[in-house]
Amino acid sequence: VVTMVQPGGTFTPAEFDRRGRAVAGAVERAGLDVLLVSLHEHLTYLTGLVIPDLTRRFFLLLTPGGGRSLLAEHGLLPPVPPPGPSADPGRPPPLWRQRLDAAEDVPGDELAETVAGYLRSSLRLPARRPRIGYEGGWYALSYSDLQTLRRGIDAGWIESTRLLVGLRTRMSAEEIGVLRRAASAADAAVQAVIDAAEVGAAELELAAAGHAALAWLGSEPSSFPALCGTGPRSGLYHPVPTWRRLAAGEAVEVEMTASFGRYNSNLVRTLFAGGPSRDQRRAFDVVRNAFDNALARMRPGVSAGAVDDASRAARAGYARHIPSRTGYSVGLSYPPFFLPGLSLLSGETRALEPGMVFSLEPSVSGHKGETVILGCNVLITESSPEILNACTRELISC
Amino acid sequence: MKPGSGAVPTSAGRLSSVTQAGGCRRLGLARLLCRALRCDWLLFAEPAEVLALSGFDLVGTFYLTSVLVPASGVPVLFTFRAERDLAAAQSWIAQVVCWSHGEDPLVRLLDVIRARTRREAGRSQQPIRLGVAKNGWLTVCQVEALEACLWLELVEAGSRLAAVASVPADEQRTALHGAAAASLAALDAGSARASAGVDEAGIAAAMAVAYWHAGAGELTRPMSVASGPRTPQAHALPGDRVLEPGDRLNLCCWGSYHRSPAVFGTTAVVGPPGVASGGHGDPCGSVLAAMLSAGMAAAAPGASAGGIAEAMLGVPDAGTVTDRRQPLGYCLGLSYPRRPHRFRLETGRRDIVGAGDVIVLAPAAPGRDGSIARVCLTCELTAGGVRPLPGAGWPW
Repeated sequence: VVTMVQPGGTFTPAEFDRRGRAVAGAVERAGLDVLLVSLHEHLTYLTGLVIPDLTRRFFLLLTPGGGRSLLAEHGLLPPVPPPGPSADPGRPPPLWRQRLDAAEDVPGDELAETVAGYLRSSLRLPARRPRIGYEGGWYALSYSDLQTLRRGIDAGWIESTRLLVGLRTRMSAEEIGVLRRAASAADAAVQAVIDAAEVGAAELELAAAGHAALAWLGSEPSSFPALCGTGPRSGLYHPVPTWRRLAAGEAVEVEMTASFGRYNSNLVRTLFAGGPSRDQRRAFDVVRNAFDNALARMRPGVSAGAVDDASRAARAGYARHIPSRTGYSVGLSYPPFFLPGLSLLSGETRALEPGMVFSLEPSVSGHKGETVILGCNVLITESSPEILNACTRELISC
Repeated sequence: MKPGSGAVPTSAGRLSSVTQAGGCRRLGLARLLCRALRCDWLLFAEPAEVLALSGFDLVGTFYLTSVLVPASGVPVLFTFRAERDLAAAQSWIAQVVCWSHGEDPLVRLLDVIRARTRREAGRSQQPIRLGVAKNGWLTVCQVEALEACLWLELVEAGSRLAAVASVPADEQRTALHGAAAASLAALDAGSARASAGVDEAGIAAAMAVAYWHAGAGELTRPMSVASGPRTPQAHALPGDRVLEPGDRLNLCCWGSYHRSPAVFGTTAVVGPPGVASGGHGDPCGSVLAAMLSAGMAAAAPGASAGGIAEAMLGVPDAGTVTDRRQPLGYCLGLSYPRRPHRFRLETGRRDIVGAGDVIVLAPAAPGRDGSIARVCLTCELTAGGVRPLPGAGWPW
């Protein structure tokens, strides 16, 4: 068993210093006096704390000068031994706590009022009307909390949802190292499904084989559930596994996602029971060409939209059966999905940069009732793109 | 409604938490609520509400997937293009409307509301009244965009929407029992692996393997494994700590079967190397047992969440529980990872439990060594009383 990533212990102090500086710079460039972070992913990003209870709210107050104060609802933070005569005076506080200037545990129904009071009294806001950013585009910030804050502070309230997500899209060497580990675990999980796939096997049995591989490798529950659909259920594109059993001649869509320290890496494939039919072979060849065309465009400076365009051009004959974008950025995320970062989607003008990692996964879905898909995680480098998965990209028969 | 819905198996195959009959009953109640609030539409956007009303078990819980219920006429299932076929296969709502990548889902949703209202009610002047939960699954940006829409009048209907969508149905029992079997299998596997010299991550892996092989659905919380000094943290994630003889060990599994959750947790004192842990003679046992009994006695239909919690804390020695701010349990509904429960059982809470509800009792008690013993027991509430889910014994 590979042991699970320890909360707060995955990355070096230098990495957290880098993140802190980058975030403070972003807050300053946005002209904010303080940014109220409420998304759990961002708390993990800045402190390393992995959060088991996502129902608990918090506000992390970030200033341009690098200040980091956390006010969290009871139950979110792990207990810290209280100071006192019995406490070990030589024991340092936990790593996540070392990355904060202040951390307060607050009753949930008092959280927003407490934050408003903290902003008024403890942060040195400018004499002019302050500019306060908030993350209104995520589920984590409640409407009533924001109303309470607005009533409590006379400020310019700036919607800043994309501020930190934009920073996180380009990953450091340490983050890429964790993603490599997750990609390797996803490889093992898909291989376990391939090994278990035989005519008569149920979708849930195949998914269980993949889950077992992930569990023994120490993966946490992933951001996105495992998918496994056989025959006509593969055509559903997001088939959650059922007891349906695989029949000869059918396609199997399988997607497994591994997570370490909340860094998620997914791998998706279509398998063909007993080998592909002529139609299935043709669809696979088209999807493989779409993957290769897109991959060839994945270089720094190329727009994310151009990658999707290249992939779609190779699937022109199946245009009605393209259900989604060609890919999306992956990385640090909690359920229920990969936190939206940068999409490989026609019309997206933002350019690829070294350090970005995408799930590249062109597909043809619903054609003759099945989905044929080929996906890998791809790292953008200064030179050619690097595929992080070892799983074959050739057609897989089972 | 579509005839013959449900032919395609849903997320857990043969066992389903919802059926067309139950869903249509809830849709009927939603219509009544819509009229009572003098609304033109109600917007149900919580993933559990979408499942309860439509049968669609959305996978990625994307953005604005929702059910729109009009005061009269057919409801609308609104979802993301990539999940259109899944929605159409699972749902009994015939009208499925999608948005695609590059489209603003809110604009698309508003188009649907305006077009249907104009066409069916012949209205083009008065504002359209839309009932929503402002503090639910909608983001602040979405609520504010709806508020800014000049032809729309938002009506806050949060708790009433949740009440309609969470009306329990008998058919949920089968899936619930499947969830219980999977969660208990995980606990058995974890307990069997636990002995001195084994690390927490290894125990969690054994639990996960047993859980998935039981054919269960997505975990609504990660497996929780905590030993020794890590036990004070509720919902503790497993770490690399190696168990030592005499350690307190808490295990907990929040399993689900087609989004019906069952939560079980056990506690034990670790035996010597090579010997599985066991709870015999556990000094915390009598306090935990008394707290569970008090909770079950208090949890009659009509009881408040706070009343159940206070009954459990009224047990002698329960007052020594170090963290009284932790909930004493939960009332469950259909569960998704960011929404694992409907409400907590904690002091002062006024939510009411009723027949058909499912609750988790989760007492904690301090051990002599500073550790905390935790157990979880999922129970069904019936008109005749409270009973643990089948297969669940006393949790240690």
